Amino acid sequence: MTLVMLFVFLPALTGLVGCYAGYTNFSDTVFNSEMYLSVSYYGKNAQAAYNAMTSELAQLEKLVNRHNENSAISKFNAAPKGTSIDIDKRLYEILSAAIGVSDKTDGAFDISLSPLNALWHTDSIGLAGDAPMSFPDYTEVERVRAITGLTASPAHFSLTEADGTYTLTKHTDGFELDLNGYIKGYAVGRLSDIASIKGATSALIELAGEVAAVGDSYRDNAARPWSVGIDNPDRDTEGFSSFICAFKQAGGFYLATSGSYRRYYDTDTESGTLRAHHIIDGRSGCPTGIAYEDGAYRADGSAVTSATVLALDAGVADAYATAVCVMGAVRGAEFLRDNGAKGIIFTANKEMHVVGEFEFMDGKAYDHYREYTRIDYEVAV
Amino acid sequence: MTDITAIQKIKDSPPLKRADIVLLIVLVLLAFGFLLFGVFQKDGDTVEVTHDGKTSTYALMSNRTLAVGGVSIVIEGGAVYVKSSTCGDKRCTGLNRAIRSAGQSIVCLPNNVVIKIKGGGAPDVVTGQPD
Repeated sequence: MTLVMLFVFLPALTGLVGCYAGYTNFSDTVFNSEMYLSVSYYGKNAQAAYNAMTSELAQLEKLVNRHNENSAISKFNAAPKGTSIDIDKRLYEILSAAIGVSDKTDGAFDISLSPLNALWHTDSIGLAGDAPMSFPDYTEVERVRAITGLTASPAHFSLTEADGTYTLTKHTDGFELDLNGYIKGYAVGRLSDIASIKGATSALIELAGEVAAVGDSYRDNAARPWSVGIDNPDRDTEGFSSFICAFKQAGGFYLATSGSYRRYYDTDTESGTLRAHHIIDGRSGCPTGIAYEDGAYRADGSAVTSATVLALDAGVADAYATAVCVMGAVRGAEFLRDNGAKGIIFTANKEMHVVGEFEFMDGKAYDHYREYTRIDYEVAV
Repeated sequence: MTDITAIQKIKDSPPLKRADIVLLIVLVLLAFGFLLFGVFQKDGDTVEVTHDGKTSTYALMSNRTLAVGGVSIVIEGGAVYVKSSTCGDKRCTGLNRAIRSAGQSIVCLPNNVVIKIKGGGAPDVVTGQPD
């Protein structure tokens, strides 16, 4: 009888032990319902770890969410020039870190551009169905650009620390700080620390597109690299959203993708159809891929359409991906190479810039990258 | 107890009782159920719709329209898209957001609805999907 039961049970069990046996999955909207959090957790204390993660996010939201009028950042943004606000040590640290990343990217990543996003109607909240029929007048763009920038002289703001008091002061009316583009990366770093401390041997944490992989993927009783698919910035020939490529990656990384194909609208101009989207180049005041030359907006055919960054440090993947879109493919790729990150960059003129080694996955679903001309950048070990 | 007495004991025990047979049949059925489940997971991709923590699963190769939490979802010809949504931003809506590969998803944040295609061979992580 025992033997019979074994024979019946074994196939039943192997049927059950599929891909994610042992992982506990959690997901919910967080951050004032503005972000989606998804956690796959393998190891002890799963529920306790998830609870700690959501309470961490709730704390961060109170500090930095500019769409929550009670956050410290919202109060700063709404204040007139000359206002000084005492801020939490934590917010001081987050702001300092974000400004540090901005410095590192030579201003390509910038947390002060939300007035330009508002002008271009590509604000991070809602691109309602009523996209504008025309682009803003360039004199308007220049006027708004003049109240943005972290390193402007004279400075638009100051962030100071004295005797344990942290102060944020506004010097220019209309200047705003927007940490929503930075906080995902920072938060995912914090959440992956929580997972490791609570006892996860393997975990995948995704917050609004920013990903942390703690440890390797654990399947069929063996540790394996994670498989990562990158969304195709273009529709496929049949008009569907698809993958542009997929690759295998050993665990312990932070991952993010930025691109001009999200939060965008197309507008007909005298130089053809142009796409306005949410990534603004602080130097021109325009969305990346759009230049203002000889009195007209024009498309930059070599613009980055999608930049994926794999980093070993928390908090930088998303900011670097955005910076690469602003820098352009070649300078962006060199920036990643020089800063110890890996990346895959796609451009409108069908170039694929690959920084570091990647093990691409075969298969029809992941083949679109072969339509691009590939340029490799070696990472010094 | 030696092996011999143990074997003797089994030999002496009565043949299968009715309860044993019922148990056996239940186990065999369960085993086949799990096997079939496994087979379906491999080639027939499914659509997983999650709203406020509750998940429902549908075959990708089916034709249906679902109304879930203010979102109208169409599954048609092996693809899924959001036909309409009560949310303000409509980022998830439209045929140009249609998905059909395992691993892809559509998220409607304001309505807390997540649509995901599940299936064998899907990447563990998909990066760059519109949020």
